[in-house]
Amino acid sequence: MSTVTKLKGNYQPETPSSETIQDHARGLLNRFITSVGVLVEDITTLEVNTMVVSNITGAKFNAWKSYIEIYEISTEQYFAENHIGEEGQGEQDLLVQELQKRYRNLFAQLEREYFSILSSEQQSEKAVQLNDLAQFIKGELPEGKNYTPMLPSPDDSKNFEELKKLLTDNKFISTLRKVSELRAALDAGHPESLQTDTIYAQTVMQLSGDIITRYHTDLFHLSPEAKSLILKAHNEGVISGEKQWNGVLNFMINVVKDLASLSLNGKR
Amino acid sequence: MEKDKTSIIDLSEAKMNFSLQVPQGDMLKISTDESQYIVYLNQQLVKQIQKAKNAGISLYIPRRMLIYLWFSTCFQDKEIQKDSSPRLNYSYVIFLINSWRTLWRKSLENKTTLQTGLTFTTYYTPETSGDNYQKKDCILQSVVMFDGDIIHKIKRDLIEKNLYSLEIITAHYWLTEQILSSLRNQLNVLLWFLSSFVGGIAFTWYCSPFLSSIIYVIPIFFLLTITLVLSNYASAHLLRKCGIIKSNYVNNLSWLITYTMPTIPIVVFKGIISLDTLLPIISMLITQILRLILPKAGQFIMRRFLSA
Repeated sequence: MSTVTKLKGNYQPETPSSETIQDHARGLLNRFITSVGVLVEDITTLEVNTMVVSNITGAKFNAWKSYIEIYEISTEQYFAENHIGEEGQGEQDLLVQELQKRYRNLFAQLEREYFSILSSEQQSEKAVQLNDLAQFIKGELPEGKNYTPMLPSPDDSKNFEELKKLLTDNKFISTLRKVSELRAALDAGHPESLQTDTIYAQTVMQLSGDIITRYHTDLFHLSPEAKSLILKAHNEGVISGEKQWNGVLNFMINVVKDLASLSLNGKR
Repeated sequence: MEKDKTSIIDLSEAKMNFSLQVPQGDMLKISTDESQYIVYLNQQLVKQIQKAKNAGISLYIPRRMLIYLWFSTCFQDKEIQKDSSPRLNYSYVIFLINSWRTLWRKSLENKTTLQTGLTFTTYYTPETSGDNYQKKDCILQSVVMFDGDIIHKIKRDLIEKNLYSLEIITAHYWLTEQILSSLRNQLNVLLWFLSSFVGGIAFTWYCSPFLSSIIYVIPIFFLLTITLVLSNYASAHLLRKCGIIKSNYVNNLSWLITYTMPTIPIVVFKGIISLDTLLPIISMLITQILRLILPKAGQFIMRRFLSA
């Protein structure tokens, strides 16, 4: 019985010897279905963002490089070394601080993801090490100098194994990729200037039927042609994205349905 | 629509260039690099894509390209070295050897991770001719993540200057949609490809007492190549040219071919037609028969229950 790790439902094993192989097979099938489920956990939401950028790089996504870049945000010298928002310093200090806060929020987002991975793996002793738990969960990164990040540092060689494991976790990599895209948008090619690439429109569709569309206020300060172009492009993007999402959902449902019918002793 | 089979394989970066036929139009150049798809458009192509889109014609992606795309989508680390030979058979065999080697190595090292997303980038120049796309011509990028996030990036120049902006954006979205849906819908191709591996393994297992250890590697790959090529030929050409076989039988035909190919040499070697060798064919026949009989039997039983 110990070979079966996760059983769903009210399945009770009857006799140890005759049912062992069946349980084993059932366990394997359940594990497979769970892993497929984990893969598409977030598929219940479709999010389409349309943004205008000043520069598109052809660079490929590299998990290690992105992780190091995001981790650096937590160091004190990050803003000074990369001259973030320097052009605005002096006259627009408030805006500079806003910009820096946005960078820090990206790092906080990644830490939250790490936190949820840790807590799901029940490694609670690490999670407790966090000093300012309340503020962390609220989503703000403490600005104090004595903040030790929860994420493992890439400079430390003892974290190598853990980092390797973390960077093969699909959910973490998805979040990392999104965060690095947002960071690139904040940089907008010129980290010194206050100008960022803005996401002008965002639509979130949920499986429950809720559709939320958000528009940036700057959109309405643009010229009418540009505004209508962006709106049309966003609508087209949402339509094509929704078709894809629909297709993937149907595909997954069919796969799971076929698997489920197999596990019911081949009854269809 | 003509199928296009030209592909130029770059040794240094495992990047692949394909030319796809836009319906009733010119050739469209696409290059793939792991999870990145780069499309090169010009004004004429955009107009042709617009026409095809309005007519509802979908883009045809040749089977070979699909297999390459599936493979590069599934694996994150690229360690595939490809030969620069453009001949159809050889590049298939070498691709098979390399993919087998990669799969084996990866499963041993536990590195088989799926991609998290795909990136579609579009370069655009108004002129029709020429291959000189520069960095500044990169105007659209869509990052499609498999967990449901999509980010569309539009370059500022496109918004401010260009007249055809909306058509270009529409063309980009259409191409993205076509590629993604054919990756999803033509799962059969991938299954045939994978099943030929199984056939090859079964074949070598049977033959291993007869051949010395060095030689038996070669028959696997010849078998796989032949199986693949035959399946493709049978399904694609017979279906299209003669119209004899309907599309729902194409699947069965290719499975039949995949199963019988290993058994023929076994029968030749061992000289006996035992239950082992005929088992695949028998199981297939049984599946077909059951598919016909079971619903009727089910109805019969239900009627008995309900009337009793």
